[in-house]
Amino acid sequence: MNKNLLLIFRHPPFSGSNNRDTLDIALACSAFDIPVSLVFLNDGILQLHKNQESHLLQQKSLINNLNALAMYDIEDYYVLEDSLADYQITTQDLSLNCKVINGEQLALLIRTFNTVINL
Amino acid sequence: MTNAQLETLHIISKSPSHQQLYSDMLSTTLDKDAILLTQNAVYALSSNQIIALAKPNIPVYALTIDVQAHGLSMASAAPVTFISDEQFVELCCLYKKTLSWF
Amino acid sequence: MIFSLLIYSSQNSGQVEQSALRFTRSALEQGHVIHRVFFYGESVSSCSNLKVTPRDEVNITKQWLTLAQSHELDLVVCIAAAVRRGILDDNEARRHQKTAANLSTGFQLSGLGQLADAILSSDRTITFGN
Repeated sequence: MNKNLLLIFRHPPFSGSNNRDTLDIALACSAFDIPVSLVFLNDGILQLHKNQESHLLQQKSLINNLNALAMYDIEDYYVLEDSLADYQITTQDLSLNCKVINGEQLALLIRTFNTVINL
Repeated sequence: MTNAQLETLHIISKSPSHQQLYSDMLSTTLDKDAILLTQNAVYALSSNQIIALAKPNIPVYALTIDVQAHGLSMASAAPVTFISDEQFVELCCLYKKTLSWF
Repeated sequence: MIFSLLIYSSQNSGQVEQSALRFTRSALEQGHVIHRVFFYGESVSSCSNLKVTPRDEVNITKQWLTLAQSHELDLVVCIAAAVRRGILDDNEARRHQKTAANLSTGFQLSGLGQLADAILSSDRTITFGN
């Protein structure tokens, strides 16, 4: 069966293990040659914000892990336009080079995957 | 293995006070999708949320056991189909995939 | 149809587990195959044999075990999620020099590769969470 996987990020950094757990799924599945794409919505876009200093909270940052995704053949990332607008963030503020999509494009994107995980 | 013509079964399990979650889910639903209310999401039946959930061509289902467990009646201000656990499994076969929201 | 379940509860609520158990039972009764149940996030705590459940409450671990035994279910607990939460099998307890192992029989610790395999091997992978 040809599977592909879309992972949805909706949580901000340092707020529980959802983002780390989702990222770990991305890496594991990519290692099994499942094409993996990531989409960041709402607070999820904050996970990508540059200039985080997680050490101030004694927390591990996921930014390095996110930046290393390309080494694991995960290079398909999306961010929701409305979420960027809500937080007055531009793609320049993000540490990953994401394609910006609107809500309708997101709905259509979801259609193209046979598995979606949304922790 | 499957000739599912229906697309995505959105399974939501948090109560409607999580408005952003409901809004996110609704913005990703398209024709041939459906929504299933489970666990605390059954409270949407007795809130204004159920009206927002009622998009044309997108059926809304609710798990009967969860509705009863939460003390709600099998009634709603917008069309909802109450289903058994068995029918939940059947829906998962009819839809190409599920997408959980919590 | 072949199903796999991903269980990701973020609270210690029985509702998520009960939903997953009910789905599993219904699917099995209808003759479907449950390829794997993968416990991730906080749900790994369902797999500890050190939990003392008050007599008037339901022991989730036992419910999974009963179902697993009668249907030979593959119950896999994410090893990384488990060890960081203090759920260890004998190997991990030895490896990390901990005083006890507490993974209940019937469950196995393994990596996320088992989830990847579940996705590849199943017609549907369904996430149960709250």
